[in-house]
Amino acid sequence: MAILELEAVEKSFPARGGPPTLAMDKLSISVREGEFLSILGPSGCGKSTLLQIAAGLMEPSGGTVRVAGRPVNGPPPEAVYVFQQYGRSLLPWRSVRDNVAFAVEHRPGMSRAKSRAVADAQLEAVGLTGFGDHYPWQLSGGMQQRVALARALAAEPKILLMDEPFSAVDALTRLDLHRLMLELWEKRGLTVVLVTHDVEEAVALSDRVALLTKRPSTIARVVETGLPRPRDAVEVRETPRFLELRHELLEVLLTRGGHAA
Amino acid sequence: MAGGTIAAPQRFRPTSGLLLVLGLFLLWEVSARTGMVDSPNWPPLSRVLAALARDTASGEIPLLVGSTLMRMFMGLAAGTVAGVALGLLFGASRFAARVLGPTVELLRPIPIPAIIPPLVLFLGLDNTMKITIAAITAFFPVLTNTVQGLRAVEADQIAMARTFGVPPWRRLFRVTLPAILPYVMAGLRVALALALVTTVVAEMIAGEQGVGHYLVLMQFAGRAEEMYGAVLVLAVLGYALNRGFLAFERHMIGWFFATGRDG
Ligand SMILES: Nc1ncnc2c1ncn2[C@@H]1O[C@H](COP(=O)(O)OP(=O)(O)O)[C@@H](O)[C@H]1O
Ligand SMILES: [Mg+2]
Repeated sequence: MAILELEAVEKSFPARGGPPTLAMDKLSISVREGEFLSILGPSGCGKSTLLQIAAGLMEPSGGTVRVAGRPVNGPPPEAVYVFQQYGRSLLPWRSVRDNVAFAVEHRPGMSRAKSRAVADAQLEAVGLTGFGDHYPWQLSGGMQQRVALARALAAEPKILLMDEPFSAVDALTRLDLHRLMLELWEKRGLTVVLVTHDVEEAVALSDRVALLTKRPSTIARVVETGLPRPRDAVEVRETPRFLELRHELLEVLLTRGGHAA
Repeated sequence: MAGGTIAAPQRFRPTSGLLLVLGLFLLWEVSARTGMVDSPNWPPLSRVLAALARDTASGEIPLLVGSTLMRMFMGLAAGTVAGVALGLLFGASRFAARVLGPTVELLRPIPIPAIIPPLVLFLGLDNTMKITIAAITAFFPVLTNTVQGLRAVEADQIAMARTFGVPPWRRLFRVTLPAILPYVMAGLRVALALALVTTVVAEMIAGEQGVGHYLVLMQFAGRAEEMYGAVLVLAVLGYALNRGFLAFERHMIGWFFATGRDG
């Protein structure tokens, strides 16, 4: 069953002294409940735009977005958007614990003690036990991304919309976060839509990979990975199926969807 | 309350800058005592301090300082609220910024002491006028910095609050206002120094209140010791307010300095 549907979604941005530029053209995709879907495309092809429209943070110029069957106008309660630049979306005047608590503290019946307990539980889930009293800027990039993840999980969303969440950390930290991501996805029955320009990341984590074309973007093709579950984010990279998919997707990106070079 | 501020023991480090201050005090004392400057209007420092100690002990000076500070802080508070509120309106509505902006820019350069005489006609000589003067002093720098701060607020932080379903009014108080606080504080630091000046000037020009009025009164009465005493009090007050504010700022927005956003 589809939990998130984009139907003929268009987006154009006003351009200075000219006609609006079309960034997205009649893009349709349907996200199944509980799946891990990656959206793969080169920089500037419209991945963030797509995800922000799905999150109800940006209005499409045309088409419809539905979450759990309801048309989206404004951020739906089922979905949480995780920002590409985690450092910027954390609140530097709040401790790590209070940053996580921010996701829920406005809810009715949520006392301060309760929201902090929620925060501590989520910090534990992402491996940051004991860092609640630190401030975000005292932590490494990978740890800051874990805080952002804990904050997203605290809201108990059905859908996580993640915008290149691991692109700004070093390779080892990224693998570490991949494992954590798979673990959380399996445990909590989340639906994850992950946007990335990293082919290996997309294949290693996903059930399906959707390829975006260059601007104006639309879905070029959707590939079922067919990789086993549960899976290890590192070991899966050594399977023949992984290598085959990597080859296939890179080929497409480099010849059709990719950079001019 | 203000007596404590004045009498508070200052912890000095014996730096060369301090030595110069002490040297100048010594020169003051010697020049008045030896007749280098022979004038009834140039009393030695020791007699100024003695008069100051006497009037402080009697409660007169603390009362004057307290009333001046009270007016100044009430004005600062009102001006800050108004400056932040208008700044937020400018940030929220381009229309408001376009309509009100030119008026603000036209009013800003008016020297604040110049509006004291007309303000007296509308608000009288006493508290209301002086608090208004301090409020206007705070208003402009706080407004400017609020607008500047709003430009620096991370769009991601606002969008983040939206994705969690945080309602608009709460976003304002939990994201926007904390984010612009460092800018508001910077405006307030400028305003604080200016407000001591404008409040005292207002007291000197109109009414019978505060340290400013006392200063003028002593001058007319030819009581040089008390007059210099008041000047010294204002110097210490200005210094203490600035130092106090810096400490307050570090306490309130330590994160801002720690993240290196201040420079
Ligand atoms: N607010 C905006 N105004 C104008 N153009 C924009 C805006 N946001 C994005 N774009 C354009 O839309 C295209 C897609 O951007 P984006 O979704 O950020 O790409 P990606 O996340 O894939 O790197 C880019 O060419 C970008 O220049
Ligand atoms: Mg992007």
